[in-house]
Amino acid sequence: MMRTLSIAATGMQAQQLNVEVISNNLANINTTGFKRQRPEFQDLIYQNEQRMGASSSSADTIIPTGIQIGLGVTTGAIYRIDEQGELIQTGNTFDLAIGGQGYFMVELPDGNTAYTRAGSFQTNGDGLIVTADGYTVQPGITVPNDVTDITVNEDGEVIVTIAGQTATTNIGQLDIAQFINNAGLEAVGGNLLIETTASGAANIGVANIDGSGNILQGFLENSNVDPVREITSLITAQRGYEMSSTVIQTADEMMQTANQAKR
Amino acid sequence: MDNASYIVLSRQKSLFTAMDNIASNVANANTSGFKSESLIFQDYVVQNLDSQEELAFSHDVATHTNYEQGALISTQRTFDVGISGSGFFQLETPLGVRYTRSGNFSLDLQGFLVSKEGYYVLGTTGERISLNLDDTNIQISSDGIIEANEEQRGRIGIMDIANPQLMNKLGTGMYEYNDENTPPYPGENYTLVQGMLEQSNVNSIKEITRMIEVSRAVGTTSGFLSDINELQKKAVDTIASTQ
Repeated sequence: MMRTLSIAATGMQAQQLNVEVISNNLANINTTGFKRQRPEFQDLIYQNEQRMGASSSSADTIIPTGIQIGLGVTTGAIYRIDEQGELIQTGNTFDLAIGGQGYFMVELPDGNTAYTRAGSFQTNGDGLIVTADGYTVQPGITVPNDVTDITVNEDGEVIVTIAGQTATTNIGQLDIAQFINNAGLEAVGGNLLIETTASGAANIGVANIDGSGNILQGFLENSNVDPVREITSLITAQRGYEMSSTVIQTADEMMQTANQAKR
Repeated sequence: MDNASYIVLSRQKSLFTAMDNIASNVANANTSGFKSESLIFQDYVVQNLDSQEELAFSHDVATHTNYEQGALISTQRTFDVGISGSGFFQLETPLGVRYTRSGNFSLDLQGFLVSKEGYYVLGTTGERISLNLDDTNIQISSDGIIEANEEQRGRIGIMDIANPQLMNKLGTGMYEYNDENTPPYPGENYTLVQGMLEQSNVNSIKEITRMIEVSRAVGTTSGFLSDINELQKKAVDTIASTQ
């Protein structure tokens, strides 16, 4: 009987986690480059009260199905869904969006590399292209002081027109990293992801080559959180929570009834 | 005299097992690919030697799994595959082939299609399926053929089992099947849907109704036990007072 209580408790814990993931998605509905997450639940182990295939008599008749009692639910994974977010036009020179696969590379203060889809970049005091946090966007392109026009083309090449010149100058091309398993990247906050053994090593290239997406200047990729989907999941999660809670109450009442058999 | 309370007790024990079973279904109401279960009870007839009367104990004999289709929900993820129809995905695990309905796959570092536990998803002839690292535009057709940039990379194998009740549930959405007399055969009645996952087929209204039933039955059996207890007490009192 105590089994029922713990099984129902796993159900409540799972739905609680589900709501936590949904609330994080909704909180990030306007976060540039955010990818929504989804918890994946799986059934916990089974208790075999009577194994299938056990013989039920000396005449070799076997029990076809047996009794298996599931012991609840557990979280298998919380994974990111890398669906393309909608592109929003901002008109800002260094607002860059990737249409398709790939990540911008960012050098962290500790020298490691992080990856991001949030391309709201700026130039710092030295003319270097940096993220909103001031981290250098790889490969570290410095924009000269006296430029009149800056274009980032589809391939990620930064092309400037220097004052007084008619010809344009190519001052560098942005790195784009790709991973075999995007879901294996670890989110570290601040719109940044870092590589793990599950994601594999970054496959560094440039935009528009080897399956990576193209770069759009003056656009930002919005989060791919869909409010309707999240609210629907929220309703399901809440109902699941309520149901498991009802099971606990009923189990409690049943035990009480059993206890009252002897007056 | 005692038989009555033992029969009631056998029923009550079965009811508590049924409650465990309902709790497990409800806990898995949001588990993708989960199939709801129910218990089958049988009467266990015993001949009473003294009175020639027959006593029927309640006995839970089997768990029945309901393999009815679960609803498919859209996740928009490339490697989420839902099965509409009958059949199972095959996974290569260190302990042998396992079957699952949960199609939440991804690629491993070598480009092999793997389950969320990292087990290889097998193709129609039991081979692993591999994609190239720079593949884009990945399409999975309704019969499981994986294409990247219009080049075929493999085909997800779906196996069907004549009597899926014989499968042993291992948890984490996986099933084991070892019956050599009726081996699994390539599935025919299925459609794969990319970007969707099969939800649990637990019907919450049904489970809550069953729960009320079980709970009321426990009340009734407890009432019986209480009555039997009273009866015995009365008998003892009466015998004692006549002396």
